[in-house]
Amino acid sequence: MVIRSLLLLILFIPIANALTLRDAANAYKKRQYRKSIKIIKKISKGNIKFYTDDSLILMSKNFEQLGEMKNANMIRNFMISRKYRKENREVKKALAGKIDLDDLDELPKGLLKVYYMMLSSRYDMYLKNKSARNKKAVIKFAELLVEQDYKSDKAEIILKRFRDEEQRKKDAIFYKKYFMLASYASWQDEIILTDDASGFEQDINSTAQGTLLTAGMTYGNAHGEYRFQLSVGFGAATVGEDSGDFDYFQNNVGETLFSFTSGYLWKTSDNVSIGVSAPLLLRIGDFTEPDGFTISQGTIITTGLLAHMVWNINSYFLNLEFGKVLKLRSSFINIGVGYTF
Amino acid sequence: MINFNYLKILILSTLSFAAFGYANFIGYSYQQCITCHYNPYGNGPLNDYGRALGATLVSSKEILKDSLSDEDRAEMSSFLYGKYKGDYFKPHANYRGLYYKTDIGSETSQAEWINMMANVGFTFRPTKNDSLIVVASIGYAPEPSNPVTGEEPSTYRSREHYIGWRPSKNHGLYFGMMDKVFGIRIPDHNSFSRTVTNLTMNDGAHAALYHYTNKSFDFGLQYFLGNLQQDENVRPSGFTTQFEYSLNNLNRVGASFLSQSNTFSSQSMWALHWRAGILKGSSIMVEFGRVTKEFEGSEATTSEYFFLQNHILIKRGLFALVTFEQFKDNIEDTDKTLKLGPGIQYFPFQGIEARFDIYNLRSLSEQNYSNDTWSFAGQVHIWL
Repeated sequence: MVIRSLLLLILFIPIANALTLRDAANAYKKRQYRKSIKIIKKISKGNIKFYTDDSLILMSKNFEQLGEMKNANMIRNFMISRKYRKENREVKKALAGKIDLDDLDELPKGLLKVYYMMLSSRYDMYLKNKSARNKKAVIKFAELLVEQDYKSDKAEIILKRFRDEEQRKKDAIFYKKYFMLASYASWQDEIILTDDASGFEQDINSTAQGTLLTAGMTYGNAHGEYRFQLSVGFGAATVGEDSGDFDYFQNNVGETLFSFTSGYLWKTSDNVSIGVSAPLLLRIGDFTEPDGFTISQGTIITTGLLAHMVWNINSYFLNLEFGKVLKLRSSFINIGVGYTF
Repeated sequence: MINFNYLKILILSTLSFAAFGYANFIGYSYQQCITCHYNPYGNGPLNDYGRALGATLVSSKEILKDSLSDEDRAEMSSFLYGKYKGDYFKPHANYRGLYYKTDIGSETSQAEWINMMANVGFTFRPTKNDSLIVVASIGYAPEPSNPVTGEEPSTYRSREHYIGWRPSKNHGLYFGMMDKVFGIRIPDHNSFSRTVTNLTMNDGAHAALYHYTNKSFDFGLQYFLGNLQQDENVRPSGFTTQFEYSLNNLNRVGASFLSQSNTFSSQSMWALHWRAGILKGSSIMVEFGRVTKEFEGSEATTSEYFFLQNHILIKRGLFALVTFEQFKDNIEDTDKTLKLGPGIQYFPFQGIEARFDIYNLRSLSEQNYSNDTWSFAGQVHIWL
């Protein structure tokens, strides 16, 4: 008779609970969280010790939805301490960094299920309040689940989001850097020779090359940088015109350049940048004035637009600028090697 | 205006783009040509791996973006976009057409479309590990504007035909008609590093090549008889050697030396070269060399060149590149020529390349002044 009664108890009570739990689950689905909690409480007559794992899980979810995180966490902690006290102690040690995560034994699925719930809950909380404490907890739980290979794909996604978020923050930080640059430059001058007597003007051209010494600063982040540089240059030009009206030729004409260049370069990768820069240029040329003639544009202040590219290899970089500078003929080319401090 | 004419002749006479060794792919950490080519020094047909790499890593995936995954693209990168069948016989076909406009902005400006090459060929692989290969390519080639004396100009020629035997992964022996091993093998055969050294697409030779490779370095020694289709008197024969060493997986330094002569002249040259990957596809390539030529009855003169080419990967399939070159016809003179060539290189789909370059040529001389010249080159390259 006793055995028969026990069998009836075993067979019928879970069925009755499952049916009622289904009602609680339906209420949860309908977002009737209070009602769902009431049903669960009714099943076990308000005594938490008699709650099944499923009912506790559902109850914690209800509390979570109601924003009563303290209650939700209390239920989960109860579930852990009820069945997995020993394992949880080891996990706590691992999460505190006292032992490595990979030193943990394989944890029971039931425990991992609770950890996963705690991860999801903490992550949702983090998304709402961006609290550093929640973030830390989420990362720990996610790493634990990855290590235990329980829903590791979902944990990985969360970890990747954090990594991306960190990277975005890091990439957005602006910082200054200073550099020195020595370069080879070449340009073509366009000066005007005027016959003082007749007033006749003739364009005289030259090809020049020289060395530029530059000091500069970059201010930028991982996406791009502003570039400011001061340069002084010394060059030599060959000047000539073989038109029928004039015969003017000079070589090794000394030229001095001063420039302030500002530009913006986009970073196509960590070490390569491409962009544009605009120099403000003072060029002084020691052109000889023949008797009876005047040279204009021997000294010019001008500006232009240059394509600008930089390739960084560790602290060294290759700098290339080329483009059009007003009052100069053809292109302005500047190529050199620099060092970033 | 002497230099102006000289520069014009220089451009027109040396204009030829061919070959397709893309040494700049060190930007993807690919250092050795043999990874992608049957020829250990690049150029010529791609092996299966090279084709798959070209279809995925190098080419844009904007076309058929949604319907073709990278796996699909790799799988259909065989001949005529076919699938790999582990064939013993690997056919290939190449076409390169060029639109070239010279002296932009001047009255003497000229423009023309040139079919640079239209090749068909095959690679025969009797062994699965490519320890033995036979490579041959034949096709249309435009009549060179500076034909070699003694050679009958022909619009059809064998670009290469050779047998390669690699008894082990490290050692290789190659016999037949092939390009000479020297410097960085770039596809810009109008660069000074190719023209001054006489290493353009029509300068291949019947040769025997020994190649040694391991993870750290490549060494090549080549003895060549010259192109046997040429008249014996003008055919340059000699030897060349190259050594390249990897400082790490993104930096490779090397040196080359070549000596050759025919009945009327002799030539010796050396070069130092460096290729640096800047990751994600971007790279820097530098070559500095000297070429000494001596013609019968005249003194030897030594020329000097400097080549610098940078690639910036803008997005998959699209590169911005700048070529900067300096050339001294005679190192004892101060005269020199500068060439700056910004360009765009685009691989819209596997087997298709479009490239656009603008060249600014400048002469620097203490004897005279000359205006810069500007030219434009637009290329289409299809390999199947």
